Amino acid sequence: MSEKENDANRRKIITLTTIAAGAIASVGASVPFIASLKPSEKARAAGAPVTVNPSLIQPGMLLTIEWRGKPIWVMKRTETMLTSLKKNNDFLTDPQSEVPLQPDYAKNVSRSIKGDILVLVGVCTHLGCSPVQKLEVGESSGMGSNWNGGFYCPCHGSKFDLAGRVYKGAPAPVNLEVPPHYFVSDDELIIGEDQFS
Amino acid sequence: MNNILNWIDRRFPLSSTIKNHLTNYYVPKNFNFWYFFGSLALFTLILQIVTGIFLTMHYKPDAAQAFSSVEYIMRDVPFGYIIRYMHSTGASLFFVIIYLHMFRAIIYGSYKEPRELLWIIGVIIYLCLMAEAFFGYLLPWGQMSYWGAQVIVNLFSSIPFIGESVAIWIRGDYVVSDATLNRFFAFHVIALPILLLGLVFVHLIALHEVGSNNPDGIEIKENKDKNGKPVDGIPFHPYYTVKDIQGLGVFLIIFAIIVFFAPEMGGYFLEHNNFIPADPLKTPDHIAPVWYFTPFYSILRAIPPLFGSQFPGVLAMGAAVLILLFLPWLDRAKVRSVRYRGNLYKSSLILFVISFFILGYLGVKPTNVWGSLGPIFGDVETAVVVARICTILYFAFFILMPLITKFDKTKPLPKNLT
Amino acid sequence: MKYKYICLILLVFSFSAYPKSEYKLMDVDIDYTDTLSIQRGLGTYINYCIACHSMKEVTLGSLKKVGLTESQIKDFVVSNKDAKMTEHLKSSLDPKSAKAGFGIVPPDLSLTVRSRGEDWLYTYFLSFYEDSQSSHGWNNPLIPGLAMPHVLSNIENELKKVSVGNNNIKYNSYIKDLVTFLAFASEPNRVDRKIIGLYVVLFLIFLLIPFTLLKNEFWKDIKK
Repeated sequence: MSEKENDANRRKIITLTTIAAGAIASVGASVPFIASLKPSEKARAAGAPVTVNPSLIQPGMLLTIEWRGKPIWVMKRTETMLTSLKKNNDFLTDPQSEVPLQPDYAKNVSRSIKGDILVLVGVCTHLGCSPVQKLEVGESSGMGSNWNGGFYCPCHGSKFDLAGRVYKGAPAPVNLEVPPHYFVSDDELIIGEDQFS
Repeated sequence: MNNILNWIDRRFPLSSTIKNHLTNYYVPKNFNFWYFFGSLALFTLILQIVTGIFLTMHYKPDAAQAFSSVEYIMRDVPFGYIIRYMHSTGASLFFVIIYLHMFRAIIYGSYKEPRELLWIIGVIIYLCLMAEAFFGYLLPWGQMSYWGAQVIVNLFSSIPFIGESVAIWIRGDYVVSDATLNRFFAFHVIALPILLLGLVFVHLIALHEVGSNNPDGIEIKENKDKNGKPVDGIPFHPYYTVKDIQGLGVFLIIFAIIVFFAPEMGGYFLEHNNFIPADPLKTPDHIAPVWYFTPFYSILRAIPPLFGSQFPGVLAMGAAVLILLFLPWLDRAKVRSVRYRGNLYKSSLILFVISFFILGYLGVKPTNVWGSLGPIFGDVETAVVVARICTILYFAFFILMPLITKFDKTKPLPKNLT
Repeated sequence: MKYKYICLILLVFSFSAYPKSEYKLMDVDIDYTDTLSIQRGLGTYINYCIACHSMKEVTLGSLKKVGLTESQIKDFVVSNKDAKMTEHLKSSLDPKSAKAGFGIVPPDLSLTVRSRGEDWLYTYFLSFYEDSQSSHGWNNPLIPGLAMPHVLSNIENELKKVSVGNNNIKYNSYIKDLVTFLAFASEPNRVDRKIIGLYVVLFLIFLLIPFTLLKNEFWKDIKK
């Protein structure tokens, strides 16, 4: 190789090395900036699990609390409500809860750990409005004589039963989400994390 | 790759701009240490804008929340403390860089014909930078933030007849308050940065029109080879891009050492009193502006009041900055660079520099820092006398310059760059 | 003429800019990595200081940095099992009653070490003396006529009694722990900052090598 080619080669190698080192430096320098956009302690704490005392809920009533900025429904269902669930199966899109919108321990007919206490994220799976309660059975609910109790979303007409399962023909494609939760005791229900996480 | 370039070049002067302003833009080959500070200033401007954007994501411009939001950034935002320290260190280093950048222009006569407009644009940038720093300093809403702003805005109230109304108009209130904080936030985050970016762009256009000066002060364009290229010139890219990158590397080391190991800089970059939340009912014992304003603050304090008004001091402080604008016409020398000037000019320059530093030091301290000269002199404070002498020396550099430069014995200029 | 050296020499005159105190301050050497000292100082703050002084910029979560668990913080620092880690250290003293009782609201201590300095605080706690002229019987040369009594006077006496030779070594150490905690609280990220800083500066020094090689390589052209 001639003197000139040697020089040109040397120049290329040094230039490439410098560009590589500079790239590493740039990536390193961007770390604090990108990391600073992560949720801060304040945001993470606001997303921490919440505690509820289900023994204070009357049978057939629903309590709404907030977790991660969303409405969470804690409902104590009566025996009648629980037995009526099977009757709905033929009218539902996903009666067996195949789509994983609930933890494994809630993949059952009642979509709950203990049959009576239901925990749902009260946000319609269509476009995010919060459905209203239509808990009474039959005509008095305004949902027709075949209505077995559940929830109705006023925005686009989606309907859900008393286990949060979506009715066929609704714009909502899937069942309402069941958040992770567990019972410390009969008086203490933790919503927002699994028992063994 | 070439096709893409051609497509762009038909629609946008990309290749021609790169040629005219980088690869075919000729620059003197003898740039030394003093020539790093232009590119460093540009880098620091970008740094302040980027760190500033990320700080604005978490800062709350509300008198009740501002101080705590800064502590939130320091404690709870991941790496927030690094971003905050980068911004505070960058602000102070920006002024170190700009003072060195301006000093280069002074010693090499880079303000002289045909670069007078370049210099004037630069002084306007300096004024905008001072305003930007002043507005930004109120934002942490500490004791120094609050009382520093209060004192400076009160200077406007010393203007005869209209002063009080002007001060109220600036503050948006009768004292520095939440209203003042909100508008200073708008100025600091949007108005002045846009202005600064525009002015820097104009500054570079002016520079490229006339070409750089150099340490010998002779025009390289007057000595061209048979291809029309200046004999003593070299293309900016790759030679000065590569050199400026090395300069940036050294600067970053100094910057990082300060950010990570001494961000307070002994209380000069982050003032101790500013870690106390603003208290409108309690004035700190000693209010001083941040270090980069202190030379001019000293001049303000050195001028005695007239008819109970501090206005003459305010005028003197303003004049101390604005007199820079006249430098191209005060300098009557036939040579540009200090290398070829005589002892008369060099002595004047050295006195000017020393006075500037002494004024700067005195501005940080209370006026009784050096005691008094004793009852013989009417118990006047030593520091006040020294400040007055230095003020005179500061202005003398400019005012006597037409005379000094006319009679100064200059050396013969070289044909080529040394 | 090498003007840059003149400027450098003049720049070297940098004096520390803490508010001047005429009283000679005692030197204390704080070890920010001594988490046990910080925990002891935290104990003192909870037992004696939080009654009047808030530290409202300090989150409970930041105390995890000195080796405390969340349950320890909930049990021993705030005695409230429902406390959230994002809550701040707040005094129960109402500012209005404070103003009425003391004439001044006891200042928040979140950043006291950054505004006054480690040495000042150390000296302050060690300089209380009895003064019959004062309303609460105490005075302090660092804040003449102060509204705060010598809250730790019992501690000082107890520690003096159990010290060998009846001196102040144990009390000095107790105060050093308190100042170490206050110093930590003023800047909880300080230790992390220096560790990261070491890596950054070393990398930047290393980065100069390719930068310098590149510059020298190209500038060979100009050495004619």
